[in-house]
Amino acid sequence: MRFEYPDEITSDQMFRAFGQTFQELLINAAMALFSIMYDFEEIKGESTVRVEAKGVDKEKLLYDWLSNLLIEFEVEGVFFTSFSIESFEKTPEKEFHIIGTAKGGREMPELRTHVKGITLHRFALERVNNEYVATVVVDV
Amino acid sequence: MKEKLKQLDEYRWWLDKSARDRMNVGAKIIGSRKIIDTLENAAVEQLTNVATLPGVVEPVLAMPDAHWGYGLPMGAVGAFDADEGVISAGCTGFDINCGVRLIRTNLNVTEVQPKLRQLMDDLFNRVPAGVGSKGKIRLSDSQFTDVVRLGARWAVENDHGVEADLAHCEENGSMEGAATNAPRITEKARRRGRPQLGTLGAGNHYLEVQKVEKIFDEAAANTFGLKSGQAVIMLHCGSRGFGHQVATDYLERMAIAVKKYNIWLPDKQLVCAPASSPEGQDYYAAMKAAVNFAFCNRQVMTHWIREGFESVFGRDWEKLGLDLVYDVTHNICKFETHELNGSKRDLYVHRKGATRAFGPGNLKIPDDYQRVGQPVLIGGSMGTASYVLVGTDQAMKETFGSTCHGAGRAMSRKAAIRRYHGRDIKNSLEQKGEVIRSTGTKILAEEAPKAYKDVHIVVESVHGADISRKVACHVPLGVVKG
Repeated sequence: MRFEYPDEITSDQMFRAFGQTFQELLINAAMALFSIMYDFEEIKGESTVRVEAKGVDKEKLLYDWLSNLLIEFEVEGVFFTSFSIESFEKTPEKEFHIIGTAKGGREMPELRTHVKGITLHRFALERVNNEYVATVVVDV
Repeated sequence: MKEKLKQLDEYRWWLDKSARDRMNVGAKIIGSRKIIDTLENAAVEQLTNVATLPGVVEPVLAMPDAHWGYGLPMGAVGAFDADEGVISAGCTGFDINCGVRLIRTNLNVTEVQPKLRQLMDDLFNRVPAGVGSKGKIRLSDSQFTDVVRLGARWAVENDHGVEADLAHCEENGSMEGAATNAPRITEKARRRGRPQLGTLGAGNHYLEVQKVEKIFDEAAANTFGLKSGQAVIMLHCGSRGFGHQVATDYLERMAIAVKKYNIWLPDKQLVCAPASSPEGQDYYAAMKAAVNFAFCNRQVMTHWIREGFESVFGRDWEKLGLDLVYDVTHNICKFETHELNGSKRDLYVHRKGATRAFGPGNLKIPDDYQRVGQPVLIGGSMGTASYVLVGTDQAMKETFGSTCHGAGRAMSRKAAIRRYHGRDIKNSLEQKGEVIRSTGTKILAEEAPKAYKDVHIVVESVHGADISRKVACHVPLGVVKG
């Protein structure tokens, strides 16, 4: 999985995720988000949660995807470790819309921290050297 | 940007509005030379960003615990004219009404120490902690509506507290005019918040049993019912997933409003809307719902803390003197009237990692504290001291009635996790006699005491600047963390 944690911000946590395709980027960003909180190796079980997201552009879609994953994580009580995108389409209203799944276990692992929300501070989706790069700062 | 700071006196620094393009007002930083030496340049730049927003009122303020956050630095205050200015979901942050309450006891530490382990075990079992933790209270949809409408009053009306608790909360534990339902409160927010009433959460939130170590101001300490050697309880938590979702929903809505109202932003996180616009007022009403949820959350947990003490010490909580000293909020936007240059101005004051510090005689503070001023509760980092301060007239004149909120981070979370191991931190604190109860040890690493500024230096700065004064210093005996 391709993501990194630049040590660039004092109070919160930043990550950068990469993807050859936009769908790969969505998955890697989700991995980066939940890897902040716990070690995936500690999670057992295979509960599946359906997650939808939408946005008028790909940047807003990424924000909605990450925010909605946090909601499902808290409400469903599933510690996600794998993600997939089942459908990716443009609606008649010209919005991007995805349906994805997130899988994980329900037993609480040892936590490193708790992510409260996805901030817009430095939030960016770029194309660099023919790949997608997302920069995200989360509130912890 | 730091090199442009001009020292005004021992505890005050000024950044003129000429420091960069588009600044509408200057910025002031409260802090000693030592504080300024460790302040990140990025935090100063963030102050200048806020100073560019429409209707901002001079000065934008950073407290000595300020550090680089997202949007507004943590430990900062931004006030905006109620007619010409903006309300910003970004400036308020995600953990709306993250706050602290202090409960006193009539127990001396010598009575608590022999039962400390039993007490911390009991509290850890009684107060749900951890990420996504589900509370012991099952709320129906209409009950949830009542919680966000009534705040701590809901808890009192449902046998989780007494009237005196409400009198000793900022805003009496409830802001009037809260939005409760769609479209102003989304179904996502309600769904996220409903199971979480009465939960501590995780991360930097905690429940601490403390000892009053030192009294600095006998008169104020007497008024607050504090004396040396006394056991007290400090509870630090916020509006949980409900507040986080309200913030998320309005970041998205205000990102659209910024384009609609043609507001230039130096940082996307500073999304805002004109204070009088539908978007601005809808956010304010939704934020009040999250504020109320947090007040209610702390009130419900207070009830369980009282039950825990009753169980361990075998007496009613009233006989144990578990009265609420005060409940303050650290992350909020408030409509307040302040006197500026001799005339009264209606403002929206955003405090992000900052505490209201109203001085004596202010009608917004409880009757029994009128003579001395509002209690200000400063939670230190884990394993270090906490303070009780009192608000001053100087804060009213200079900082929109605001002061610091805690120690403030000195090291990034990533650096702390790289440098410290949670288990080592737990061991070293337990060797000092503290009892630590947490859902795991890894979570202790990012909260390592050395990852924070020295709380004593932070407090000396606000005391030295007279924007709040020292009343008491507490040290931890036991802590519950999510």
